Amino acid sequence: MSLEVNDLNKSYGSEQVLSNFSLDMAPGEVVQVEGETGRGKTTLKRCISGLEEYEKGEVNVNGDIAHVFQDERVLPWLNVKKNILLSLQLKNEEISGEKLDQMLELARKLGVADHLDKKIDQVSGGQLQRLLLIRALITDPNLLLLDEPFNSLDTSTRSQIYSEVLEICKDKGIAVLVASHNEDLDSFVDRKISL
Amino acid sequence: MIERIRDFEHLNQVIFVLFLLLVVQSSVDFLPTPYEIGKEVVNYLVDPDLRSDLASTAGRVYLSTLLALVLGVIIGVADYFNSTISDIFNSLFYPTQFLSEAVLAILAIAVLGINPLVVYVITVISVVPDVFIATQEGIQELDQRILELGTVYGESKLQVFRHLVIPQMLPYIFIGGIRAHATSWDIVATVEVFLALGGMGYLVQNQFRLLNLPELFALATILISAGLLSDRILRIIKREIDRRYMHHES
Repeated sequence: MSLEVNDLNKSYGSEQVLSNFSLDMAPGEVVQVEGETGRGKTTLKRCISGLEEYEKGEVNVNGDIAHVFQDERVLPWLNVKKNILLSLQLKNEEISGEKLDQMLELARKLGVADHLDKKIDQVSGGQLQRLLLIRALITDPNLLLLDEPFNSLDTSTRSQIYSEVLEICKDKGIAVLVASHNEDLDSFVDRKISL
Repeated sequence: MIERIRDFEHLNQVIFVLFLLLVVQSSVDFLPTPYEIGKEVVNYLVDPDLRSDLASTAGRVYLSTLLALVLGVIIGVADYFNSTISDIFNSLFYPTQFLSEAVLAILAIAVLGINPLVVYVITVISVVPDVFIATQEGIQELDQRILELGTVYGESKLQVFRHLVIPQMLPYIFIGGIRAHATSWDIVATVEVFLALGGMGYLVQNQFRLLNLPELFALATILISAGLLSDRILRIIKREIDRRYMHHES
């Protein structure tokens, strides 16, 4: 299993957000977490990636996690390429020629190879989200958490990006947990769970 | 509170000039003309001894500022991990903020004797709160969303600190450095008067004792100009740092 979540409980004050939540994910599986805003989709991802503590339960991840957030978390003083390579630097991984080739290949697949040397404020929202996906994928994760990262984009662009990235993840055997209340993901996901 | 006291201390140079004017007012006959002052400034600037004294004072200012920067940042960052450090720091350094440089100099001479180390001890004690406070401000302003990238990807805390924390804190640390640098000029010159170990402060004291007003005005002009020029250069560098790093929103 890429991910095992057992009886996860998380509350904010008196408000119980996750109650005995369990989930298993196989490698390459794509699972969509549905639910209206405030139902705990983001909290679940934050618990899995270690950004939130939880009261009870167990989270086991087999391998590395990559997390693409709802907002665009970039360092504005770095250009696009350096923002992508940041994930490797934070992991203290060597930026080898192989990694640079991998970045370029991903950028070509996602149609943003021409934007790598640009400043962050010179790329559009859709391009930036693709570039942030590359930042996540270049770490060769076993589990990719997508926290409604494309909500600000129009439906056709969103569908196109999901199609591209989920195809890459399936090829590489990366399990993907997508939080979204959009229904345009139906054709891409293996199963859905509701919160 | 400490910051406010520091701001007032920056007026020392102005107060020093006003004091000179008061002395001059009581003996108007001796008032040097701008030409006489300018002539003395030129004479001093071509004098290798003066250049050596100015370099000595400037060297003490820069070394003190650097020491205060290192110490202030270390204490500020340590305080981020353990808030009791802030309490200890305040109890040690806060009382010194109410003492003038002259009193601090006498205390330091009593403890250390007359040696060049006194300049650095007094200056660092006096200006390290500037850097400490600025570092604390920088830590408070860290973008938590950016730091979360470190939690997700950062297996190396050193790399997280290097790539995510330091760039965000740099503008604030530099503000502390500029404040510390400005105050250091006042303090170093004042302490040099007491220590008689050379430097601009000692020259000023000599000319003051002899009431050589044109020389005194010339020295004050050179000292203030050097401080302001140095401050201006640092502010230009700070503008560049701000332009590069001072926008956390993404």
